[in-house]
Amino acid sequence: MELVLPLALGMTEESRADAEEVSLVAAGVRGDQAAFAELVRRHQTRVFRLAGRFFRRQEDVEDVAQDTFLTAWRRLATYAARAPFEHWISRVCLRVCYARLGDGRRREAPVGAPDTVVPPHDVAAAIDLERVLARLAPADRFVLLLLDGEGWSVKEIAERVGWTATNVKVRAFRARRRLRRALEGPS
Amino acid sequence: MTEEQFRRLLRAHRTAVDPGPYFVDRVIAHLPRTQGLMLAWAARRVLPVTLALAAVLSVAVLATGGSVHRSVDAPSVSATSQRGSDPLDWLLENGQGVR
Repeated sequence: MELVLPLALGMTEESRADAEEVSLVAAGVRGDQAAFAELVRRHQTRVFRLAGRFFRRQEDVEDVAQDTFLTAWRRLATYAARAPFEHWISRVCLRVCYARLGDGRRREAPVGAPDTVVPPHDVAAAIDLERVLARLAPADRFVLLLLDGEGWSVKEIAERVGWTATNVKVRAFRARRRLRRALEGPS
Repeated sequence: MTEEQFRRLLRAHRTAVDPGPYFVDRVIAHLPRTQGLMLAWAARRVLPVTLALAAVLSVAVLATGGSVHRSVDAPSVSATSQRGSDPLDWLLENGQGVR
């Protein structure tokens, strides 16, 4: 495993970490699994956290995280280092989540399954939320979870998912309209 | 539920799962291998099966040894040892028979 030495004076901690990750990626592209393991170690918590936004079952979150890193390994050569590796791996994770949400064959957890969800203050409200989310299409749920759950702006979503800003706006508009209908509907 | 309540709840909506201590190892174990590594891995995986199969075949051959040897017209171990001469004699004999 080779590491880039922070030769440039005045290099910040962040840019040093980015440079290190670029060299880890380069080693990974050459087939160095130890270098890739280091990348997984650095970003696993972030990926689990992101996947935890979209899936309620622990095994789903773990599967998504694993799929994310396996996809990243296969496509590592496409990382152009124009943005931090963190953004790239988030994008891979979001795409895996989106694909999995849209996969209707997978069984969804029953509404209100409370086992691993972060304990809310109001359990009844949390179950209501699950019901509303269950009524939304996967694509709408995806956009709303990023906008309102993660608190990302349209620009951030566009950058991280790889859609255009206009596309995000249109999707968000439609998702909000369907959300209002779902909220007005019988509970 | 209002839209504002929905947003507030959605902010807290997250499945809290932390990566286990062996997650990295699990990912690395699932990485596709190169051809050489794949062959080595496959050889190691099938080694017990190969040994077991070899043992079963050996037992089977020993159990039905006489009939098998007769069918291929080759002398049994006991036959060659009885002659007490070069164990390759039968080859020469067979070779002459062919000629």
